[in-house]
Amino acid sequence: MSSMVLELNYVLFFIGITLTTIGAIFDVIASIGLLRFPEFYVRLHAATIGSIGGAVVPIIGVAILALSCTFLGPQRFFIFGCSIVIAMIIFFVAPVGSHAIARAAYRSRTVVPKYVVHDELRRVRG
Amino acid sequence: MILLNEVLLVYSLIVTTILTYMVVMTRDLVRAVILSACQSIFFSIALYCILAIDIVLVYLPVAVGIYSVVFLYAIRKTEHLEKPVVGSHKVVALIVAVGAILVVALIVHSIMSGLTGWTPSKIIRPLARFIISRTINYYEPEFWTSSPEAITATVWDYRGLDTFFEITVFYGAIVGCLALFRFIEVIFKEKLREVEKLPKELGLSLITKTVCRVVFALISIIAINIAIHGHLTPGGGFQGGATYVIGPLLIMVALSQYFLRRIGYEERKLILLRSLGLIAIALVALIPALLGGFVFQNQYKPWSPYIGYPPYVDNVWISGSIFLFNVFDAIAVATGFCLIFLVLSIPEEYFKKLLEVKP
Repeated sequence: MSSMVLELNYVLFFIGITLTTIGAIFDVIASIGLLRFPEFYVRLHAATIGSIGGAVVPIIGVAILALSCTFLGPQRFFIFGCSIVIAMIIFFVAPVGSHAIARAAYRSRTVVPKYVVHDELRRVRG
Repeated sequence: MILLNEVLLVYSLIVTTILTYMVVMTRDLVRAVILSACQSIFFSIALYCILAIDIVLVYLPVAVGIYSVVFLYAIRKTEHLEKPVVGSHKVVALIVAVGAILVVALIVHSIMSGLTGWTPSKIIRPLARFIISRTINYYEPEFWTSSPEAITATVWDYRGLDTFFEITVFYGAIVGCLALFRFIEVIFKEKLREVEKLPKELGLSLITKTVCRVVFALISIIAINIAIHGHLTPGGGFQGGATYVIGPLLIMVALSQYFLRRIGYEERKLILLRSLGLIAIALVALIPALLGGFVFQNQYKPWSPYIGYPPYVDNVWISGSIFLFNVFDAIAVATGFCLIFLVLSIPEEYFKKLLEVKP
């Protein structure tokens, strides 16, 4: 029984490490995109990758990692719960932030869209 | 070189007094502002002499920079002379010259002795050791505070009076801000009635509004958690209250301040709650003194007849009075900040109408 729990902990540990690494890779991609993309809306897309892939995923990874660390005692459940809650909050809030930024930029017409293929909003609002 | 430090301290305090007198007596508003800035500089030198460098770093930009700029901007809108000026340039010049020489001497001395000057690190170190080893020490119950969080224990037990004065300064600032806007409700009520008639929804898009409603609840829960756990984990009353205010602020941005007023955040209620919080803090601090102990007494002390607040109630650790202080401080801080933001969010035209300034 104890060996099974130990193996389960190993599995959880590697899942956690993998998710955290994926998050780091997403962060690098997002920062490169933020620097290299040509236009506001495309850069906003890169920023969203940074906030979901680069923040939510690694925090869930940290939660699973904490669950596998038995030396933390009952505190590991506390860390797990906190991390999941933080990840959920970022998951809710980050898209809304980018939505509000994009909407403000579009409606105030401070950004001139260069690479727009099809603009439905303009057709609807005139 | 302690002597130079003390000479400079006494000198700067005397000059501060003289300059304050001159600020009050001068008839020219612009000169009053300049003198007030000089006074702040000398006061920050005095603070530097008593090694409160963190306060100097805040005090200098605020008192010399921001205050002066705000006052000068306000004076530009009015006349700056009351009556013909009585000259006292020589006194000011002399004071500033002597002060400048002393400051240069102090800076040179500081650089020569390793940039920090005279530091009392070895004298103060035992104090930190005392606090860390005794905040929750069963074996020396005459010094313990029954709170495992050393910072909260220090703030509300070892130097509770100091914290109370800090809070009083904060509420003084809020009272000053409210005094500026004191008849705003009378003018602003008409606007509120107009807004209630409007069918159009105010605020940002539907997505933002919906999520802000959810996040408001989450922020409130986290703030209450920070305030209630202040005696166990990092945090406390002020932090909890300041976190709570983010919620109403978010509502104000996403759903407009009229929505915030409609769900019950009104000036009068907030003032009432804030005053109740402050009175509760004062009562919790004073009850031990009324029962024979001393002010801000938390636990039982052998030299005081008061039995002390209980460290736990029914297996829930509350650290005596620290829990109560945290809760009431959170209420008072949250409502105080809400008040400030509500008052500041009133459109400019209304308080310009109030102050009878042409827009």
